[in-house]
Amino acid sequence: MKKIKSLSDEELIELVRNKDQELYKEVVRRYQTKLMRYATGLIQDEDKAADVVQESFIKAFVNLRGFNTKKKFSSWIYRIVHNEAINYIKKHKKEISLENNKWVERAAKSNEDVEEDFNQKEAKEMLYLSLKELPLKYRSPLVLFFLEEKTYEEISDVLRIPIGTVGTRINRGKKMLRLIYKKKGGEVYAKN
Amino acid sequence: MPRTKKKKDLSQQVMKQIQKEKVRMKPRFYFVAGSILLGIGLAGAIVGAILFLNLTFFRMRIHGPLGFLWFGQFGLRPFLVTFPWLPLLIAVGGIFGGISLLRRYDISYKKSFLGLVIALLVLVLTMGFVLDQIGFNERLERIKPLHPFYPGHFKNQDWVMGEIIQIEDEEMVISTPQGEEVRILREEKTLLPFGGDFEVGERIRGVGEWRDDVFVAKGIGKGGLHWRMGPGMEGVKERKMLPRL
Repeated sequence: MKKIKSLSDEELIELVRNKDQELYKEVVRRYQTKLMRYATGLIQDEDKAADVVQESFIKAFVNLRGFNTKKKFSSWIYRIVHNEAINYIKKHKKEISLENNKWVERAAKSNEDVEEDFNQKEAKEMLYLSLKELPLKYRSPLVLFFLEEKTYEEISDVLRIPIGTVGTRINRGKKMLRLIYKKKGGEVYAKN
Repeated sequence: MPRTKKKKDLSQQVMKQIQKEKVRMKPRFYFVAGSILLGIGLAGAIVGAILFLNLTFFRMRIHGPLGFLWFGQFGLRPFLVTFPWLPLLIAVGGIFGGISLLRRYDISYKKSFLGLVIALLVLVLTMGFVLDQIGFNERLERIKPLHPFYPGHFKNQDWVMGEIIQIEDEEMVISTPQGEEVRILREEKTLLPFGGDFEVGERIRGVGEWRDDVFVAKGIGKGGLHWRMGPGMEGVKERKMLPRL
């Protein structure tokens, strides 16, 4: 048998399902950091995000036989965390700061000329600083793209939206990032 | 975004919770059954929508309920009675049910959802229309258990429809598709939105009230009535030869 560490996610899931449920610990180890980062990006609170991720792992375990091993496990588990996080946000609307800035949505949809082209590192920095002010609809694809480094197709699988919509949201989200960043007075990455 | 300060190891907590609460994986059968039920539900919703839309087209065709609106206030009640509200409502429910089930399928987000909805609508509308055009309903209405779906009445307390078999100055006799003869009395103030020239063999509708066996028309109009002659509806042709009044 291959060493556990060298198994693909999907092979590992097969083993958990059919041989040893204890191996689920390895699945959790592989994904906890990434999923914590994603959930924290959405919820903006690390403790609450930890609860959401833990609950998601339990839910994933319960439904593990429903996972199709021909598909990517990572998209599946991200999808569960995404749903749990969104449910949590909806349930605790009053406690969670959701500064759904209408101005930034309007501005991003307008033809205002905003330089959107920035590299991964710049985007990450800007995301960390402006994420809280970014509407939730754009927060998820941007976090998945810049922080989790997922492809458009993977993001489409996680968020269950067409690839074209992923592209639109990322582009508009980038524009929003720039606008929020500018509003805050940060010109470090603003290109002249 | 707050950056992770210290790494929490969730694996111990998750495994502990799984063991402590005796969390079990759902059996594979559960998911297989779910997929099958989803497929049955989707197929059922689409087939149901097609059948009830087909019934809607049928009832619109034979009663032409919109035609009653030409008679103004006198036509309102006949319109409300003959319009196929229930089949239409069930068909719309089936379409919405189908769309909501379609969303659960993996393909639904990979394709344009609007495109899928349009494809579903085109399928349901086309199939519903084609079924009605090939005489599907005329066959079904002969089956006794299906009679509640086919209230083939062509006269009511304030409306009547049929084919003219005799005409006099103030009177005409029509035969409903089921072969019932109705004497219609035309008065001076009777509304004639499409003119007063009627011929034997024309299909008409009348709104008004019954005085004994005679229907006193407040309005008479033609057009929009497209029933087909089938078993139980042959009466009209035979009675055309009746002697004039």
